[in-house]
Amino acid sequence: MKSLRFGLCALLLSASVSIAARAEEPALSDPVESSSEPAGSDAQAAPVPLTVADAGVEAPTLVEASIDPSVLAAASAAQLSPEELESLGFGGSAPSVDTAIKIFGFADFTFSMAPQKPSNAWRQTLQPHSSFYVGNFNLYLSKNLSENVRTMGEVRFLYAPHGSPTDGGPYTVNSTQDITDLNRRIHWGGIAIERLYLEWTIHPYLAVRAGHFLTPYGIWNVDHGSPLFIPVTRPYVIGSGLFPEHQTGLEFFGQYDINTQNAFGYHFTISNGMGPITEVRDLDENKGVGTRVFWENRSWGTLRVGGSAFYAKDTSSTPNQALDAAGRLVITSHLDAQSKVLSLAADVQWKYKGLHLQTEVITQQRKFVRNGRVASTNPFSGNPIFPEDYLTWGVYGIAGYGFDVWHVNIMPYIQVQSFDQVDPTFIRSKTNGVTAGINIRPIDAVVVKLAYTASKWPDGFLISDGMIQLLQTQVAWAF
Amino acid sequence: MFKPALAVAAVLLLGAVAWPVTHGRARAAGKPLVVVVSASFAPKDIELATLRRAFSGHAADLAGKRLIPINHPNGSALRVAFDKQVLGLEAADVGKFWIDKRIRDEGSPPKSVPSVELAVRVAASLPGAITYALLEQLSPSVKVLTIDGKAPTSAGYPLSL
Repeated sequence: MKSLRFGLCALLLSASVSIAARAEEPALSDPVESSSEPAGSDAQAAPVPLTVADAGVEAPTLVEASIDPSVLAAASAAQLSPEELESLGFGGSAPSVDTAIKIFGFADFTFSMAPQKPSNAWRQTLQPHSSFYVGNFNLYLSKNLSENVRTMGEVRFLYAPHGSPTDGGPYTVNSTQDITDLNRRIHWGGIAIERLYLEWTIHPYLAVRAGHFLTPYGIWNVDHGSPLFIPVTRPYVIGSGLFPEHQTGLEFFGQYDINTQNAFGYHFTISNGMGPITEVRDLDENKGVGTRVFWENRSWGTLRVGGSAFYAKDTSSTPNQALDAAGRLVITSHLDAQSKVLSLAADVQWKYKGLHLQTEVITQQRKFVRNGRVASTNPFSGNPIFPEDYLTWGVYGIAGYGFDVWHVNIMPYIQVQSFDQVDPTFIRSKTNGVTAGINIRPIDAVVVKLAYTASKWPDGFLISDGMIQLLQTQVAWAF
Repeated sequence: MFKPALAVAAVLLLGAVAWPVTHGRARAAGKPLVVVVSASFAPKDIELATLRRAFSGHAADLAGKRLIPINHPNGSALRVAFDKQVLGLEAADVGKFWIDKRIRDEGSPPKSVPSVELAVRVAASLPGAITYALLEQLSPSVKVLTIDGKAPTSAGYPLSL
């Protein structure tokens, strides 16, 4: 009877120690098979404290005294089985690579109104009536194909061209009958391929992308998504395309950490350059080349200073087919316009605790080649306009301060901007603008924005009726 | 007229670049937060800059092997301390940091596992896997790396809980 009681006590004691030792075990079951390390060998040695006498040389040992052998066995079997690794995503032929397809994206929904009188010319031109609209619905697909090769694609689903304005005419209404729904009418839009590339990491400091990518210049174009932007709409200098927003070609890039506080990064691109269909065709033999370099310092928050450049021939041409005197097909190309373009930019961004400061200045020089100085037609007078070589530039600056109230991040901000622009009819004008707003981020993935924008053309413009004013609220989210 | 301003700017730039690596990283009182890899993995030391690269979504190699960073659950004490001291991120900023990176396509967050013990077991099982833990949470199948030549018990070791 005594031996039975002793046995029961020992059993209860070992069970309680086992339960305590397993309290932090993960959901995965422990491997049934033993590891290469013998489970019982350590149980014979004297107790050794868990420590590192000489870090990086000797592996630590466990406290063995008074520990149940089953606990020791579990602790010694410290490695995961291939099946357990695979369940964590480290399996298959490349256990070190997560080869799952990742799907994510962002979207936004906006309410916009012009607070001027209904008769105001700017309101009539830009926002006659307050409106709700979905702006972006962007879907990302990415997958690691191997340890060093991955692919990424981003598409934007659009209502456009449905709802797009036409020159002096009614809005485009893309409506058709849905034969699968009793021929009821349905509105349809389009898809824009924002990015698609194959990326090869040649070296930790050098990678190459082949495909269609965002031009790596400045801050705003790289940020790219509405949940990252502080204001609701892009500054004029960003939206005007002084740098192309996208390129099709090759991008080489990398980032080198000088030390724990400083890093240096670079991008180099070669692409179809500039033109009406550069996504799929280069209309001249001159490839566009671009570069960006930046320095990042993390001594006080994160400070990033960068410079970007892009050079290309901007060519627009129309193919012509005709028969020569011998009846053979001759294909020629009629040059509609051609100019050499040099874009330069500088940017600074500083984030320190809640403070957010950022600015970009961008310039573009355009010089028409002799045969490429083709006249366009003034849409208002009907007279021909021969383009002149020009330099255009713009700048914006944002200052904001974020702080938490009841775990909700709030950032009031102000943006000022100036843009000396040349429009597609080569009419020059200058606009200055200011935006004041507040962003509220209830959770990391969602930001609610409220913004008031006022812009003025100080030198006068075709429309001269005070300032452009917009009051907008937007919710942008990532998923 | 601009030369004095340029000289001041150059001095400031050089000063920022040459700022001591340990600025702001003096080891606070607390248990050392150790970085561990498989005991069979050859390296014995890692640069803090390399550790930061690995855990911030960049490709990072150690002794010719691509590092596989293994994170702890967001909000756990070790994760909060590691993110702050290695990535310079407060706990409240981590979520947005990775959302921003994904939208820019500038890297994905390291894989997270539910517990420190599982992270250590993954590090023990997968060549190149690297994680962090306290000394008492380790197993014989992993070894501790020094950081910039500093052992967890030495002065100036940069990570602590």
